Amino acid sequence: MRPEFETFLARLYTDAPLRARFLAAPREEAERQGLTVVECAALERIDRVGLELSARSFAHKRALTASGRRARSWWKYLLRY
Amino acid sequence: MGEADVAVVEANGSDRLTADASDRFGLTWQPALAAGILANLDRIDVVEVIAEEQFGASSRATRALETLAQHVPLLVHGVALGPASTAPVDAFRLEKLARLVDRVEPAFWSEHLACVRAGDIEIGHLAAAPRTEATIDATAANLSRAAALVGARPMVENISTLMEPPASDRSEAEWISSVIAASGCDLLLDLHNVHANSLNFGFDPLDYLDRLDPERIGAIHLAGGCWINTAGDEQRYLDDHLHDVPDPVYDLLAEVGARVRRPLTVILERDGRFPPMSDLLWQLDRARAALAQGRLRADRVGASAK
Repeated sequence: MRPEFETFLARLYTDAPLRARFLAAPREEAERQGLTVVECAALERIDRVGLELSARSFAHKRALTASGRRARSWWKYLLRY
Repeated sequence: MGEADVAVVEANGSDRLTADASDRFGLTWQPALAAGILANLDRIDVVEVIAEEQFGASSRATRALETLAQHVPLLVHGVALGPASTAPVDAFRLEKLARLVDRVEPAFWSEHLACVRAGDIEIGHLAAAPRTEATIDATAANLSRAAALVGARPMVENISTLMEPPASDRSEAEWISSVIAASGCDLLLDLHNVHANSLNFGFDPLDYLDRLDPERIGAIHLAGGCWINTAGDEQRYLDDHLHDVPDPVYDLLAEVGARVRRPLTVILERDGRFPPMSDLLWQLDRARAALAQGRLRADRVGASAK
């Protein structure tokens, strides 16, 4: 697998407009990104439901990280211990 | 009632079943669980700490972590290294991991067999890498680099995925086994991830276990999840760490107990919607019983074969 393929997958997970263009015409979009014939064929068979759910899940995780929802002051419990 | 349920009923009815004396059971450290964990260290053998939550910690937080390590053995668990990638793992992240491992001296450290970034794109979480020879070699190289810099090999964890990674040419179990063989790392087997992937992609989780080298399984993760709906009326099962461990996962733990003879470290992961600590401790007891039940079954088979 080439790094270019890995990067394109990462873009599909994170870039909603690109993902919409890709799902409308997978082979054409993959070819436009300069991927190989074999890579384009693999992407044409992609698990479309799984792609959408994965993208949604990753977006949720990024939002959680950005909001700093996880408490950082856990150590206060320990200093009282 | 599954076999693990029988075991836990027996456990509650008389003496508590115990797994092998060297098996350890614990929880992932969470701020909301801190008081409960510290109050129940007689029932918690080990605590897993998420590495990335310690990076950039204040000196007081660092001292607190060292205090925790004086009371209970710690494990360091990474979630953002992303070794399952054709790109080399980030040396800066590895240096931070190395410093944390030096400071905490965990029983072991671990990381996921996942891709978390590519090019300059942060995916945000754990993505499954295409299962090919190329990613096996690249992952093994990254794990070797990590082991050299941190000073110890990580245990590596199988991940859950909502999507079969495209361009894969082998099964998940085959890919995991090959990475384990090529890297020399032991497996942190997340049984809920196996359960979730088996539901989503229609494989037999026992067949998955049969394809792993039992001697390379060193630790276990347990967790819970839920079904999610898609726009197209399809359902997939999500590993969310927000629900109790489901029954089939305890049954898988018993199966692991029947296959693996070495001591295991079993961690219950819970990231939110926290139940009372008594519920989590009960789930740990149920895990103890399930593992003990599997080990007992293997002992009986071994004895009858003699």
